[in-house]
Amino acid sequence: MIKNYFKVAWRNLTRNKTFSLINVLGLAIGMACTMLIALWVYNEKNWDGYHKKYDSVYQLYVNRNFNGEISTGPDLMYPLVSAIQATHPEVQHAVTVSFPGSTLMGNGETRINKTTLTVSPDFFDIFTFDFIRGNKEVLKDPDAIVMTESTAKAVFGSTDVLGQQVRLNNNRNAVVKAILKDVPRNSTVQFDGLIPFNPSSPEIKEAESEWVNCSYQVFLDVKPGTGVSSLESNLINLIRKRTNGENPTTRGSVLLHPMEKWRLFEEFRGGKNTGGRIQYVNLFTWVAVVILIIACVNFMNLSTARSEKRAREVGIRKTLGSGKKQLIAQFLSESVLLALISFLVATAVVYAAMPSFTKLLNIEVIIPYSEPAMWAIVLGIILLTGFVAGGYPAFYLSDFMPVKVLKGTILQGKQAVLPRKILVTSQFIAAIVLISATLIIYQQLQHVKKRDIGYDTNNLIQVKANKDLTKNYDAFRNELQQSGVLSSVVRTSSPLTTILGFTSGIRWQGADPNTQLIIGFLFSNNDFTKTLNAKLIDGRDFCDGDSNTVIFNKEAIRLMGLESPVGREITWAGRQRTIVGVVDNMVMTSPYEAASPMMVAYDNKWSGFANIRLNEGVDVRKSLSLIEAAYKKFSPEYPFEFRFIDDEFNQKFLNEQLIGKLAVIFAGLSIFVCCLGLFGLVSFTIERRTKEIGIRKVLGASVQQVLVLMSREFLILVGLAFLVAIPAAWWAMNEWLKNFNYRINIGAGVFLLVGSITLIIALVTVGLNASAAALRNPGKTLRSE
Amino acid sequence: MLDLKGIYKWVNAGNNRTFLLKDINLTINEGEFVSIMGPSGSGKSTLLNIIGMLDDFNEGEYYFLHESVHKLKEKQRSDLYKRYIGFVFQAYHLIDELTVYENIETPLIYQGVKSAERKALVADILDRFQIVGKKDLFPTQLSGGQQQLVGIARALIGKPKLLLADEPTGNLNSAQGEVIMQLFNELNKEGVTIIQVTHSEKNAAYGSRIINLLDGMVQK
Repeated sequence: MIKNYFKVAWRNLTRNKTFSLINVLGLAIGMACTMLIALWVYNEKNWDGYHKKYDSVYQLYVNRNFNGEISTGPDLMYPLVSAIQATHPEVQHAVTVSFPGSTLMGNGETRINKTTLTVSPDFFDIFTFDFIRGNKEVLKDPDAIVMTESTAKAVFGSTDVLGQQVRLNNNRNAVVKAILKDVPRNSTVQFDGLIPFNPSSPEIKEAESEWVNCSYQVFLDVKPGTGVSSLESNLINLIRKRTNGENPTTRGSVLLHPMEKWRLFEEFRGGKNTGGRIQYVNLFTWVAVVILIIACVNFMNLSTARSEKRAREVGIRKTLGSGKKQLIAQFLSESVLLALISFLVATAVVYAAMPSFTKLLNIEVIIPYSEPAMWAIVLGIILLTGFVAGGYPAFYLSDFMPVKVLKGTILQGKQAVLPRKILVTSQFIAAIVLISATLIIYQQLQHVKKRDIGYDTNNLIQVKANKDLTKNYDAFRNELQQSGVLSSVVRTSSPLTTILGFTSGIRWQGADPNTQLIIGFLFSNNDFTKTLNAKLIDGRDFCDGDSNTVIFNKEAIRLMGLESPVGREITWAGRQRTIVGVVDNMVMTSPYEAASPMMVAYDNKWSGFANIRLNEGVDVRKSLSLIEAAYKKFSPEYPFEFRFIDDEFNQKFLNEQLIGKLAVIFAGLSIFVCCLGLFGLVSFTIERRTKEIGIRKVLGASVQQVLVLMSREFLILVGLAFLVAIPAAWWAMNEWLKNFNYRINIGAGVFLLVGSITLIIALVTVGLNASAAALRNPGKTLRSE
Repeated sequence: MLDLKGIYKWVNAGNNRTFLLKDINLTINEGEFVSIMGPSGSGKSTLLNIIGMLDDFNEGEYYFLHESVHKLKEKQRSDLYKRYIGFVFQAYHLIDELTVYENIETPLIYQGVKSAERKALVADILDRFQIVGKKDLFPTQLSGGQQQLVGIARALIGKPKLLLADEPTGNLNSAQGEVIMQLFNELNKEGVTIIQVTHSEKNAAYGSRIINLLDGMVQK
C-alpha cells in the first residue's frame, strides 16, 4: 500500500513540475539556511571546547576607573601567580602568560617573525595542546622553546628538530625541546611558539617584586565547587596587601572570566561581563528559526492550495472504499516524501555553499556527524514539516461526504483564505524587518567608514623596525628620501591602529590633585604630523633638535583643562617635558567610539614601527622593493615585513561587515521565500475565482480591471505587513545602534526605500499570476465539469 | 435487497427549506434492473447517491441487506458499500495520475486483496472488456467511451451485488452507449442488481422496472 502511495506521490510531483519545483525549492532553501546557521552556531558555541579543563579555567580581569569610566582589562602583574599559588589551595594551577609578541626566529640564513607567548610552567596543565615531540616539562627549562608544527617547518623545513638551536631576535639561542600540533583555529589562545620565563634573568628578577606595572595575562585552573565571587574578593585583597600605595588597580576589583565565555561573552561594560558575540549568535539563531518557519508555512500553504484540486480524487477514492485512515496516510506520505526530497536538495546546497561560507566566516567549520542530537533534529524537522503540511489536507478533506467533495462544493467562502492571509502577512513582516535591518546596517557601516579619522591612511606603509634599523635610522631615511619614493617617514612605538600604553602619571601646574587622568601614549620622532597628515591645530610638529617634547591631542587638552597649552610644561616618567603642539583628534582604536585623550612623546631611541608616506602617483610595487632594499642594507639580520595602514584600519570593520553580508544574504533569501508564499496564495485564490473572472469578463470587465480586482486584496496585505514591520524594525535597529558611540540616526528614507522594494516585489508576483487568469478565455473557464 | 422508508432530504437557505427528496418509499429486490427517470432537478442523482451511501439524508430509514444504514458509523458504512456496491459516474471520475490497470485495481487495494489475486482479477476483467492493450495508458489518452468502460470495469472488479449507474451513457455517442447498455444487460443476467439513472427512454427500456421522480417525490 505504501508503495502505491509513493507511486502516486511521485507521479503527482512530476505532473505538476512548476508547483513541485517551487515547493521543493522554497523548503530546501529554508532548510539549507537553517542548517548553515546551525552549523555556525554550533562551531561558535564549541569554541575552546576541546580543552580538557574547559569547565574550570578562568582568565583574570581587573576593573579600573579611567577618567570616570570603568575599563576592564586582562593585564596583571608578574608576581601575582606565585602569590596565588602560595596562598590559595583551591587554585589547582596558575599561569602567567605574556601578551602575544613577535619574535624573530633565525636558523642559518632564514629569518622569520613568529607570534610567541612567554609562559610560566603551568601552561600545559591549564591548556590542552597535542605534543608531537617532547612533553610539558620542557617549560621548566629557560633555554627551551616550544614550536608548533608549521613554525618548525617554516624555520627548519621539518619537525624532526628536537635539540636543534634557533636564534631568537638576533640576540640569544634557544633549543627546540618540544613540537606541538598547530593550534586549532577555534582556540582563543593562539601562538606559533612558546618561550618559558627565565627566572634568573635580571628583568624577571625585577618583575618579581613589581606589583604596579601590569603587562601580563593570568589564567587559573580552579577546583570545582569553589565560590567564584569569594575568590574574586580574595584576589583583590591579595593584590592590595602586596602593593605599596594606591593605583587604579588597587582601587578596582577582580573579575574571573570562565573559559566557556571567552568566545561569546567577550565584552565588558561598566565592569560587568555584558555579552558580545553571543548577541549575534542568538540573533542568527532566531533568523534561522524564522526562515525555517516561513519555509515550512509556505510548504503547507502551497501543498494545501493544491490539495483542494485533489478533492476530486479524494472523493473518488472514498467511493471506491477508502477509509479515512488510508487517505490520511496517503497525503502524509506525499508530503513526507516531498519534505525528504527538499532535505536532500538542501544538503546538496549546504555542501556547495560550504567553501564560500567558511571563507566568509573565516573559521574551519566542523560538521558534527557523530552527534546523535543532530540527526535526531534533522529527522524531526523532516517528519514535522511533512506531517504538518500533509496533515491539513488529509484530515480536512477526508472528513467530507464523497458527493460533496466530488462536486467540488466543499469550500466555504472567506474562511479557508483567512489563515493563509495571516501566514503570508507574517512572512512579509519578517522579510520587511530583515530588509530594513540590512539597509540600516549598511548605512551605519558606511557612516563609520567615512568618519574623519584625523589622519590619512592612504599610501601609508608600516614597516616593522628593529634595533639595527633604529641605529641607522637617519641613513635609512636619507636613502629613501633621495630615491624619491616617499614624501615623509616617522617612527612610532606602536602601530597607528592601536594604543598600547596608558598612563596616569602626567602632572602639570594647576592640575587638580584629586583627578587622575588616564591618557594613552606613544613615542615618536621627527615629522610625526607631517607623515601622518594629521591636523595641527596649535604649535608645531616634532623636528630635529627636540628632546623632551610632547604633542597632545585635542581631547587630552580638553580633559586637562589647559588654556594655551603650547609652551607649557608637564612632568611625566621622571622628566620635565614641553608641549610643542596640539593635534586634532585621531581615531586610533575603535572607529565606533568617541575620541580618547592621547599624548605623543618625543623619543629617538624606540624601534617600534617606521611609517612611510609614499609619494602620490608612484608605483607601489617599485617603491616597496626600493624600501626593502634599503631595509636590507641597514638591517640585514631582520626580515622585511610591511603592512598597508589602510588595510590594517579596515580590519576594524570586519565584524560588522560580516554581519552586514550575512544580513544581505538572509534578507534576500527570506524575501525569495516570501514571494513563493505570496505566489502560492495568489494562485490558490485565483484558481478558486476562475469562474468569477470568467463571468466578469463576459459582463464586460477589461483585463486591467480584473487585474486590479485580483491584486487589491494582496496589496492590502502587504501594506498591513509594512505598517507592522516598520516600528518593529525601527526599535530593533535602535537597540543595535546603541552599541556604538559613533552612529547614524535612522531616517525615514530607509523605510521609504524598503516600502518601495516590497511593493514592487508584491506587484510583480501578484501581477504574473493574475494576468494569466485575467487573460484566459471565459469560454474555457465557464465550462462545467 | 434494499429498503427506503420515508426518506427526506432538504437544504436550508436562510429561512427557506428546499426539499431535494420528499417521503421516498422504495423496495428493490435482488436481480432487478431498475431505471430511475425524471426531469432535471427531480432528485434522481440525489436518490442514487443516498442509495450508494455517498450522501446522507435528513429523515427516514434505509435498510441495505437488512442493515440499518442510518444507524451505521462512517467506517461501517464504508465497509458495507465497498463490499457490495459499485458506482459508475456520468463523468467517469477516473484518477488521472493512475494507469488503466491501476485505476481498476484501486478498489481491490482498499478491500485488502493480496497482490497476486489482484493481478488475476484485473487481468480477467481487462480481458472481458477487451482493453488489455490499454492497461498501461492514462485516462487522458483514452476516448470517452473507453474511459467509461474503465469506470465500469473498476465498479465491477470487486464483484458487487449492486451496481449503481448515474447517466452512464450521458457523455457518449449512440454507438458507445449501445455497447454499455448491452454490457449492463449481460451483467444483470449474471445476477447483478442494477439501478441506473437515465434521461433516455431507450436506455430505460433495458430495465425491468421504471421509477419516475418529480420534484423529489416518486410518481405513481
